[in-house]
Amino acid sequence: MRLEPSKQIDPQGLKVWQITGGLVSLLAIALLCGLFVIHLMIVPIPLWTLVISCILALLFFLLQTWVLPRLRWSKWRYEVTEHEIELKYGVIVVKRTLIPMVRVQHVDTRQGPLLRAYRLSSVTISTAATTHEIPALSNDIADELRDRISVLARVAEEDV
Amino acid sequence: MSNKKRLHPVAMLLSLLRYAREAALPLIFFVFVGGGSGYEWWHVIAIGALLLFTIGNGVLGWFFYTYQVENNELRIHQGFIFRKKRFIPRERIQSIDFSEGLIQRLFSLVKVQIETAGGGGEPEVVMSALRREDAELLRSELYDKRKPILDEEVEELENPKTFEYKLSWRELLIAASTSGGIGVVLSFVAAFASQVDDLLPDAFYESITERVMEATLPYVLLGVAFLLLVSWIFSVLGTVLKYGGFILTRMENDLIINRGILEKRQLTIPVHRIQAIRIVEGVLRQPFGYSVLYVESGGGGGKDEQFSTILFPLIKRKKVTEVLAEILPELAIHEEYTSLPVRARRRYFFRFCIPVLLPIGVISYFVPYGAMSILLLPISALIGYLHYRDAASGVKNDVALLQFRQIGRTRVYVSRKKIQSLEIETTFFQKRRQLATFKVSILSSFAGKQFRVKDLGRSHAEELLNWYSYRSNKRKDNEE
Repeated sequence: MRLEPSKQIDPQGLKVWQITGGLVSLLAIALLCGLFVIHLMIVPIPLWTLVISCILALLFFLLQTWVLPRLRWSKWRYEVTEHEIELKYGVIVVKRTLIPMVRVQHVDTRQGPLLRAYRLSSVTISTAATTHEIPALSNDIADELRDRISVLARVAEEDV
Repeated sequence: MSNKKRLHPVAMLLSLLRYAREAALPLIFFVFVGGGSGYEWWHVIAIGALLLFTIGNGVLGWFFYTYQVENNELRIHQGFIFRKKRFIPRERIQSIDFSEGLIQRLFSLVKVQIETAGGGGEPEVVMSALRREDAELLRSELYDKRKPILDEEVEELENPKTFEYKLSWRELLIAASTSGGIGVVLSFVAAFASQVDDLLPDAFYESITERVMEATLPYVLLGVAFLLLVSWIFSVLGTVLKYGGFILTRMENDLIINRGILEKRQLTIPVHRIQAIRIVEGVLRQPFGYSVLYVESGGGGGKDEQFSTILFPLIKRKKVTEVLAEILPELAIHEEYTSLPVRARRRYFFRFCIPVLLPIGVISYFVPYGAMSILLLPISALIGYLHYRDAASGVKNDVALLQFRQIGRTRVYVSRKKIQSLEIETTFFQKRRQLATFKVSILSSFAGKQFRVKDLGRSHAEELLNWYSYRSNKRKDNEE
């Protein structure tokens, strides 16, 4: 049995995912509000529909802010060695990806406003055919990783 | 070469024709529909201005389009108002193709297309008309000088042909008649019909509808059969024109393909640019043991070949190994593979049967005799079974083999060095049954390509991951 990649992503990343999940579930809450508006202003809706909608919205909220981010975070693993990058992630679909260093075309770090607020960056690794992302690392680790991969990839230069 | 060169003036004519083709439909529409109340003076002026603009554009476009090879780069300057410069380093060029359309042949010119690995279906450079010697000169400057010519190599150059393969007329006809391009032709007919829709008088439609309504079933079937036959004949003709005179040559480190009757094409594929080999046995061809062989390379290939290049339009399935060993010894293909475990079979049945359940339900409920559609179920099950039976994968030395069925049975060979990244994927349900999906990504002219085999045994998938991994290979090397 092959060893799993050893490194985990930054614990702060979990918070970012939870906030993102919260923002996504705002959509469900907005829908719910719409339903109440319809109920009060236009046409009365049977009570049980409203209750079920509330429960569904609550479940969605919990799933998005609590369960999924946690599972996702705990499953994420990566490892960068001199010759290859290995990723393992996914909750329902578990993906395990190998990218040889010779195939790396370029590496980016990037951050949106949320990631920036938590001093995190994501690292994006591009080959000639695919793009892969390590979603949340602390700025320092991300920068270091980017530079290291870039150097290693250049050392292993091989034309396609 | 440092002086800038222009295309042959015929390029102007070609650009004019291209505009004319694009403008044809709107123009017809304009003339027939827009001018319903007779022509007015401004119609004439508008068309005149359009014509003048197009001609001017063609002339200026030609005048301001120059190319030169300098500093190991192909440099193209173009544009009169919007100046555009495109510099392509020689090392980045993936393929240089020549083709001769009817007009080019009339003036004995060639059209040159140059591709890099950059994404997109269109070649990076299209020079619509060059004199043949100019084109040859350009190619030699961009290609051959890439490798420094050593004394030993000069000797080899005297007899550079190592392998040549010609497609016989018989093979061409078999390839054409089983190509399955009929669907393409049918959709073309449909598209054409929808275009002429507006142009025909209503009375024509009424009489047609009347006749169809009156016609009995046999006549309708006859009509459909006739339409299919005509489309098939067009499809055969199309394939024959496209692949007639097919010759594949291995010249040193390049594969050169010449083909085409009306439009002659010459494609050059450097061997080290070849990313993978794909062998497809179409449904119509498989019973006769025939297959088509494609190469995936960084550049080249149009939409109709799914962004690959056809290496053999028709080849006996049994001869593939032998012929490839001769023409592409670099890619040591093999027959070692592991089929799927029996526990994967159920998943393949489900995958094909479940999607038809809903339509069957709906049809059964709403359509008289709709329950007959339940027959779709065993058909889907059969398709699922075939997909299950044909899926396989394996590795030997440095070459991986993936076999799966899309419509025809497809086999992909890719060398480890050309795999951009490798992935194994396990869904919740696969995990319970100890299965995994195996996926490789390679470079292709269109944003990269993925090939996958679903529901391998989990341990086999891990073996494949290990085969690809540097870490485990290093370990193996150390042990030996």
